[in-house]
Amino acid sequence: MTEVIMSYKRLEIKHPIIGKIVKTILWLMIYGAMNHLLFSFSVYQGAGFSIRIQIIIPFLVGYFLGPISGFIVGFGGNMIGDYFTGTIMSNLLTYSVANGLYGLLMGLFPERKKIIDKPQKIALLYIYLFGINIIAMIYVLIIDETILHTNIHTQIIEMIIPIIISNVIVCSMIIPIILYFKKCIKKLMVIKLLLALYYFSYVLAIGSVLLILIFVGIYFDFSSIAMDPSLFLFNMLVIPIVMINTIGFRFSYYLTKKIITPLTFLKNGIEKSSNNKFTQKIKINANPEIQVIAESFNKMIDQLQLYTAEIETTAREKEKLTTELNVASRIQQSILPHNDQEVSQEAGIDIYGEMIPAKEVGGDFYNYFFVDQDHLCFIVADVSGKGIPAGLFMMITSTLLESRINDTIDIEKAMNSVNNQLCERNSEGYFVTVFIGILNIKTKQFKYVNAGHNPPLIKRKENPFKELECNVNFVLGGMEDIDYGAESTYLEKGDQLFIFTDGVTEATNREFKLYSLDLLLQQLNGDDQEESSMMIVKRIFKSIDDFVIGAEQSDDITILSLKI
Amino acid sequence: MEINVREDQGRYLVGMEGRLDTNTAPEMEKSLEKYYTMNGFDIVLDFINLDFVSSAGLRVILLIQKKAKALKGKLVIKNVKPEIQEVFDMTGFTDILTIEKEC
Repeated sequence: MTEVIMSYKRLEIKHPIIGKIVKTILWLMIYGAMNHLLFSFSVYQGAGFSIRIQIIIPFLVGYFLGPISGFIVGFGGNMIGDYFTGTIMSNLLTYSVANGLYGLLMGLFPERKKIIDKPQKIALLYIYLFGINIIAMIYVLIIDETILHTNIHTQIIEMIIPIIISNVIVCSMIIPIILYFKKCIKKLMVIKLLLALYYFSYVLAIGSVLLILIFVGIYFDFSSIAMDPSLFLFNMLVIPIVMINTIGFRFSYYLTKKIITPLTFLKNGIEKSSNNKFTQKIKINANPEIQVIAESFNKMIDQLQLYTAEIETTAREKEKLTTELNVASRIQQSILPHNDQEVSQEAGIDIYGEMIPAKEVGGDFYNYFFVDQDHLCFIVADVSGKGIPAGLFMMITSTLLESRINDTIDIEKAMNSVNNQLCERNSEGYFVTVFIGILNIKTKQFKYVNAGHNPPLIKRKENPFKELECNVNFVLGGMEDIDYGAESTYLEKGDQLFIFTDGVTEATNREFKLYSLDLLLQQLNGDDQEESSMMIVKRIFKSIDDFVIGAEQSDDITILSLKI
Repeated sequence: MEINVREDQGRYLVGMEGRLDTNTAPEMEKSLEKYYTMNGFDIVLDFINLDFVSSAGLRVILLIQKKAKALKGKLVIKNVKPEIQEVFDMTGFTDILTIEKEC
């Protein structure tokens, strides 16, 4: 069975018309079979009628497949059922056509192809179902009267009204539920409320009418009506059915107006306001509960406007600050030597440096310049902290150092004097670690001072890189009157110096592992000797990048490489 | 980082835990400010649970040391881990600070 359904579902997608025909035939068979099989079974069996649950099939086929399919299934199904049951075939023109009319008229329901989304449309559905049943039975009555000449009075009392009642009960009880679960009815609160109310009042009304009649029946002799008592009871059900289908929907309309309409107003107001960037307030006159919501919303609008203004100001300020930071960053990078070939060629030394700040502005710097024809000075320094404060301090230090060295070639004196200058106006206690060296390019004498900086790495001849031996001096700008002591050594052609800040060795990856001096030495000593300074610096930066893999840079990183 | 200050007969014992770097140094500066701005203060920094000191951290230590000189106060650091001692040695801070080897 599932396979059959599956295959016709595929068919339905491929050939919509053939799919419809196959479906119609299938339902025709089902309806016919049910009419035959359920002939002797019914929920309620009256004198000349019964409650037939299968009656919903032509209605549903009409609703889903259209009027033609609905008619075929209703007409054919009743005929097949009658044929196998052996009921007189004269019913063909009356009851079989009436069954066909159910499907046909249902297929003409105006809201059939739309989703029912209003309580009014549900009411329409109920009234329509009611109407179809009445029309079909009027048809039966007319045909019976003209062809069979039956007694019209008996016919109405014994056949037509009971059939209308039983069919209306079955249809209005089951069809809305099926449409609801087939998603043909929108699951709105008001519709749920309406359906619940409808079923509740149905049971209540029918139940109470039956109770009253039974109660009356105890004291009342039914034989005086000259009618089957059960038929009489059944006919009396017309009263609650008409009641529910008229009064019930009035009540639901009142509910809708009371609850849903203000809610819709509120929703529309909020939507309108949100389209206007939440500047518009809601004007509403409704019951107090809704009024409270509207007022809260209006209060929120006031708050929102304040916040929006605040955010806009902050965003503008931030944008301004970002622009300024970018300019600051460019200014800072521009005071660093530009790595043009001039100095390198003049000195006969391959020199290259780079500083990458952790934020826009950094506290690291490097510098190299000729003091006179023979003396090349180079500096690598690291201001405590990072960002703008460190950047400001870096600018002062770099400028002071360069100008003092140009005054006196003695780096000890220059350091002593810059240290005191820095201490003088240093309320925030910033300091700089500095490695400064002066190389006589003729004699290759190399004088240097290490002020609290990490020792540079040196490679002499064929030996691997190792730390340059340095006396420890206190950092620059930390305390007044420090006496910086210089050291001296000689370099030879082919020697290399690698000066850097601790941003290199303390570069941290996501697992909080440090790049470390060991890894740096390993990288440097594993290298090919023909690399230029620029290549070495670029390679080490790349190796740091590979090590940290996307972790945020925690400190400024500076490298200055020299090849004598 | 965690900082807790305990007073013991006019001496402030400061226990520090975690990392003293760019992010935490301002916190330390702020929470100790009221102590190191008093005349003749006496502060002991206990580094037994401190794992790392960056240059920003050194700045705050130096700031307190300078205040000690100006306000005739006293700053002692104790229980320094070897890796932090290395930083003090490299930057020359060992010479200007009072570092207690034993507690």
